Amino acid sequence: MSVRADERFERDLPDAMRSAVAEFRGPSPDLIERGIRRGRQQRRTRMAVGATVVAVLAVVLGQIGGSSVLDGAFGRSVDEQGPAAVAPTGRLPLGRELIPYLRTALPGGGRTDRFEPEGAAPVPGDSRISGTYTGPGGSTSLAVELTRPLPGSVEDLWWGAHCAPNAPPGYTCTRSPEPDGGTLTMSVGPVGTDGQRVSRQVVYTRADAVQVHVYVGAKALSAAVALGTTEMIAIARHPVWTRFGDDALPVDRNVFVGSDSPLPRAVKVGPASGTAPVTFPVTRVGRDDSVLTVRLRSTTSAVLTSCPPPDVDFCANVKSADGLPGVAHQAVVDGRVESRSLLVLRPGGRALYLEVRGDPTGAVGQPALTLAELAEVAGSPRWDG
Amino acid sequence: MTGDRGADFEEFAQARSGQLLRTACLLTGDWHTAEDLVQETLGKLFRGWRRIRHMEAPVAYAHTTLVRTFLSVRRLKRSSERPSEVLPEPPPVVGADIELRLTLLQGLARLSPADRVVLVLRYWEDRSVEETAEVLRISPVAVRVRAKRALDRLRALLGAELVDLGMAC
Repeated sequence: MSVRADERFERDLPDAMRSAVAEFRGPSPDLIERGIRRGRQQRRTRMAVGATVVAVLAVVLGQIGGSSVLDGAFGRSVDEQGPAAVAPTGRLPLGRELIPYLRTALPGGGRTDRFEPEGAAPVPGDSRISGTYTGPGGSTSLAVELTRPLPGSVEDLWWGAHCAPNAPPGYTCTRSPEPDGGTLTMSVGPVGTDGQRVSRQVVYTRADAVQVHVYVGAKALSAAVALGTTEMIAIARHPVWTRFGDDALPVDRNVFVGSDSPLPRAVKVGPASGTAPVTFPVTRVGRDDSVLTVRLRSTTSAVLTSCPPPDVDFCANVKSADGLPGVAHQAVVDGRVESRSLLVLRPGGRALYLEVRGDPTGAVGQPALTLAELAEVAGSPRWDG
Repeated sequence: MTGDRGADFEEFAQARSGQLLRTACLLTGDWHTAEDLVQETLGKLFRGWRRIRHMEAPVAYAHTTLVRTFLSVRRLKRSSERPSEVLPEPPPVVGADIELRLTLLQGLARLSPADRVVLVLRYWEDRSVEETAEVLRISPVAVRVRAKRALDRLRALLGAELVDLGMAC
């Protein structure tokens, strides 16, 4: 479709919407009365629940022997005790559970106000809260989110961890590797009329693919900068979030052993490292030495194998060798193919992610496996064990 | 609520319910579900009216509440919609046979709730990217990406022209 047709469609959409509702029936005569009745009913329910919660907490705190003062929200009472140091868990915190962890990660001297969990999250299991942060430098809106997108999925490619190839004017984005094996993505919006950036976002993707998103803006509540980029990075990389780990399934380290290995015969594979994910060194004559990463995760969401809009040139919808839908990604930097990856939904609610990454100092500039070969590997029934 | 505040709220609701219902129609595609959504929204506004009536922009707040309530689908009694990012998209409709073409509301209904909300906020309520980002609590970049994707999907469903798409609600 031509660009002009695109523009005409977008230009005509408001009028089309007005036409669609121009002759609608109008509200029922009793709609407002029903709304008021609903509001009174919700108010009575809320007061009853609140009273019960206060009573229960009073008993619990009495048994613990603490003297925490409830200040309306749960966050304050939990915060006084601080988040307990426990072993990493595969379960992400949801809603208000995030608040005490966020307070630990914030710079000293600041406070959070009116933090609320998000509505229906885009992907079930992800968690986000937003509210107002007030620090020595001023106040700003702040949102923090933990996600665990499957690498190569739409959620990974499009919700802040990667820089979109067609960023609008005034927006800048950088993505850089971190010494710990993760990546840091910083995106900055245009400058507003008050001289401050309209919005800033930092996404820290850990080596285990858990992402911490920190978003500041768009409405600065004071002229001063309440949270700079340095502080945002510190929040995203704070060790408090390491409590929440990946939920990858263990991978058989012998999956490429034997005469029926799904790898091409020309590829030699070395001993595995790790369990979830597992990495294998792979070599091949005429290609760069590479690392093949295999990650398995339970999922029921088919959305993860869709590519973004067709103007993105590094993603393609593909099928595995046994016909299962998937999405392939290829990263090219300065003419070198840096990595190739494939995400496929296997039967039984398993998502398989394969990534081959070539040695950046290799002479050839090509990883050891092609996308077609990754599709062959992904089509093996060995992954359904 | 005291008499003055009650009357104050009723006056506000009378003045805004029509426009709220139009927005709800675009979001839900169905008049009855739209009324349910507006009823739920009015309930929330009524509960917080003591604070809301003193806001700088209570009308904008009311519409924001409507949109956020819509996204919390569980609260709609009569809604049978289940949020899903993937909808079975039919092949693009081409040709001039108007009887076979989807109405605009039918096309919107085939988008995911999140995509629908972005289009309604941007093109019906004429909110800026930054305002839309505030309502949805996502970044402005995410708003632009989502709006582009939603437009592409809607165009694939409705064809290139937006004329004679029938009326609903």
